[in-house]
Amino acid sequence: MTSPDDMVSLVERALEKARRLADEAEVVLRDDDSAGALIRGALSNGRAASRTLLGARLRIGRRVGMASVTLAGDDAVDRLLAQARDAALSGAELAQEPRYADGERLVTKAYRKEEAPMGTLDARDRAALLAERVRGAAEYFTVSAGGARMRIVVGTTGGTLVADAVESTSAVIEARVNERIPRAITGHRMGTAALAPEGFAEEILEDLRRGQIVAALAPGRETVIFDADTASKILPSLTIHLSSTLVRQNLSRFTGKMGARILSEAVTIRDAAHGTALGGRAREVDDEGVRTRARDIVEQGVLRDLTYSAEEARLAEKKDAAGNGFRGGDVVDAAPRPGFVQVELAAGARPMHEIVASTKRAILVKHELLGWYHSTGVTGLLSMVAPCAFLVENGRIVSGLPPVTLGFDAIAALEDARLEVGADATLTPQGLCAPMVLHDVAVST
Amino acid sequence: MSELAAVRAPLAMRLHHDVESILRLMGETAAAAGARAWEARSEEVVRHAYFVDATRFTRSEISERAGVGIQVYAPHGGAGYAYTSRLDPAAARAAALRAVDVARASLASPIVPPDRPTGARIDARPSVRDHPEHAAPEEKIALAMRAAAAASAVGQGLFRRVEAVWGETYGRRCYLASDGRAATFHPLHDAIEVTAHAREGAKSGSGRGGEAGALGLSDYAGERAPEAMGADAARRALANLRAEAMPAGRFPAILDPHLAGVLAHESFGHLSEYDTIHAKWSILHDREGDRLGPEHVSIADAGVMDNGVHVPIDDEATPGHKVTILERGVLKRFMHNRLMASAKGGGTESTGNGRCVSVSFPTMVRMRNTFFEPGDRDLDEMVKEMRNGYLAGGSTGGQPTADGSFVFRATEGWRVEDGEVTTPVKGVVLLGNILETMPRIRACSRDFRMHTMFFGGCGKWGQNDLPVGIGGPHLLLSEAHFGGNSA
Repeated sequence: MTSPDDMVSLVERALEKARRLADEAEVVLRDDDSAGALIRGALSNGRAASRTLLGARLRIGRRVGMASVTLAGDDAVDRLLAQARDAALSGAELAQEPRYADGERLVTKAYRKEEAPMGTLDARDRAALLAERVRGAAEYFTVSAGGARMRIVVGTTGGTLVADAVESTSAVIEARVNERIPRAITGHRMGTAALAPEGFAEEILEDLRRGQIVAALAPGRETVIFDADTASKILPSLTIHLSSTLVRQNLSRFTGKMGARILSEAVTIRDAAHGTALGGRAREVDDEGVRTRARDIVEQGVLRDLTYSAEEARLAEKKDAAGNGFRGGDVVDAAPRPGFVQVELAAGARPMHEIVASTKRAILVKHELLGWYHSTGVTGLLSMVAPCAFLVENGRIVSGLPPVTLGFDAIAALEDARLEVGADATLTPQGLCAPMVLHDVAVST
Repeated sequence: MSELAAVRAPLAMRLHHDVESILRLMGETAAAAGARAWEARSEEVVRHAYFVDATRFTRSEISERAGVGIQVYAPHGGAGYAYTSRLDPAAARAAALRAVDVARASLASPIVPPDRPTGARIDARPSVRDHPEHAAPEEKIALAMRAAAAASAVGQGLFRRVEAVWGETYGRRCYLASDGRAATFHPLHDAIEVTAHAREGAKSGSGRGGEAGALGLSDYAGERAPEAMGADAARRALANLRAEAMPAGRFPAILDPHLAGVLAHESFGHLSEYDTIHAKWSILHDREGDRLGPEHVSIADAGVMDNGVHVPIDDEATPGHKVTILERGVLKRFMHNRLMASAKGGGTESTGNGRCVSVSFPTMVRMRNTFFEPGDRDLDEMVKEMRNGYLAGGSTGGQPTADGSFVFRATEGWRVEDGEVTTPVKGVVLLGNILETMPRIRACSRDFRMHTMFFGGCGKWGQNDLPVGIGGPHLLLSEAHFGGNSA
């Protein structure tokens, strides 16, 4: 792990060299440190990793080049800049001269935080605790617990030098019973819920037991109650259409609809950039060194804003980029794209158990949806499988269901005025989400 | 093409002059700190991607990744892994000590891989005629542009965006273990991929085409010609643009080799990896020797295949054997890495399936090229035999679960009526349970095709995007369960 002070001075040194090679430069240093423990039946292992990546984006005239290296040796900076310079000289000229962030200087409190996010022992203890609760009750189980911290420093030759950090914690239980009907459930907990997962194992086991009573379901259209975990799998099919890039390319369903009602009044989508009460991602600056701004993107169904990277903000002639320029995964050699820091679906009024109690007939789906990330986001068409599904009739769960296929147009379903959002917000890998009730979903088993 | 004259080749990867001494230092440090066994590995790879549209080179992504990792077994059997991206003695030593700490913190385990000193040093490299490492970027960019131009040419003015990319990754991986085994592997994986997005009014559709593998530049000819990839992408985009929504329900179906490969990999392969068997995750854990499918159905996994990934040795220095998992419908064998071979016992040896997506992770049992063996039927004959149903092909991936359920998304679908392929459908999702699906495979065609890709790959337990090959013949299913957007 590279020390925070060393990271900042390395970026400054790289920028100094970059000034001599390019009209403008952006240097990104990213340091990841993680630890985790996994218990799978009788096997147990742990992992710790520390990696430092250095990326550069150079502008020479109207040409831009990007490259990245792991900080493996002393010549890493020189090699990086030579690669980025050559890439810039090779690339096509852009229609307009891009500009990188200038002037912001900020070293955040999160970046300065010295203690490690969590140790291997902590992860092992949390995993062991969950394993103890599941062992014996399920034929098979895997539990894992882990934590990670990513530190990032972004500097530009325009004077920007920002440093930020983000931490994450997670806990996962995957369990299967093999009684009359083989059933497997995977559940996730993130943020504060991963640190103190009270009731997590018990809920998984109860749903496995309830899944043993199975009713048939004729193909048709049904009302579906998604718990917060499964509802969160629908969000990416919406948020992709809130990207300024797709709007500009006329690939978004919301092109030309700023200020118009695009979704049901029940839907408010925020970029919770500075975190939530339940933890999760919080960033003060994005991957381009631009300050993030927590705000509503869709307010009670009305389109109020989009996510902009610096480049997209400039193309849209916006004054502020709002800090939504991110490079996905561990990529530091690609241009930042517009994206949420953390999506939040604002919670509604009624908790899920009340919604269920007042429902005449619906399918309740929990924990996980299979196939959601293979869906084609641009079309909005989703077709997924709910491995943990229950039939709700006259206000109560009457039986489990075999895996249910769910097919619907995500945007059309979220436009429906009958849509209801529940109160029980949960932090998920996709963001902070709440239960949702969607209507006329094509189902079959 | 004048712009291409300016394209500069990325700097050659500067390989560490004596990476084995770093690996040895890690091992010695771990042993001195109390490790009973260790396996150290290094990785120095480049990854280059050149993006083009139909008329010009637009941008490149250039990256180098290096690092060392060590797997350590504590005296009580606990396993620990640590990684650092720094290739210097101090960082390597610190990582080794961290791995020992992690191993000590892990719960006790009776299973450790056995020593297998061979005394032989393995050096494996792909034998391609014109390795991409030695070709100028202009040559690769020109190939990608031919694919993009071919797609654009049939776009009927409906394409909003056509993009093609040349991708390549190559370099060196080294391995050293406490029992003295040592290996060097020079990975190579390259590809041309082309994507077309069509839009007409409120309708949209996209299509992809491409070829990948451990290929030299001259291999991109004939069936792998860029023009064929571009035409494929365009055809799929236009078909999806005009397609009707797929109805949900159960229908007879034919799966193309790509989708058949997804079925082999996702729904059967993952369930036959011995770590999932040992932990009883897999529904197949107590089915060894059972008949699970008809006589004409066999599934295998191999390290080296045409149009697949090139894994002549795995990341534990075991040569890549072909493993026939399902033989004439009977579940015969599972896939193992060294640890899981030890867990099975009875003299079981690793099948060469110990892989990691990068050395920042420990190895586990992973597939390489997984496929249905071909049969003896003609595709046309199978379409006639099915008479009415759906032909599904291509895939953006899938997901299995521990109870044998699976869900795959096909990239294209066609209705078959009265023995003829008629209109396109979209939103085609295939789901089911492998134990119910296998007996429904009525026929396998004699044509056979493997498929792999550069972007994306297999994901398992946090290690995502591992390049794998998938394939097979066309499969005729008496009944397949499709999800869809219309009831």
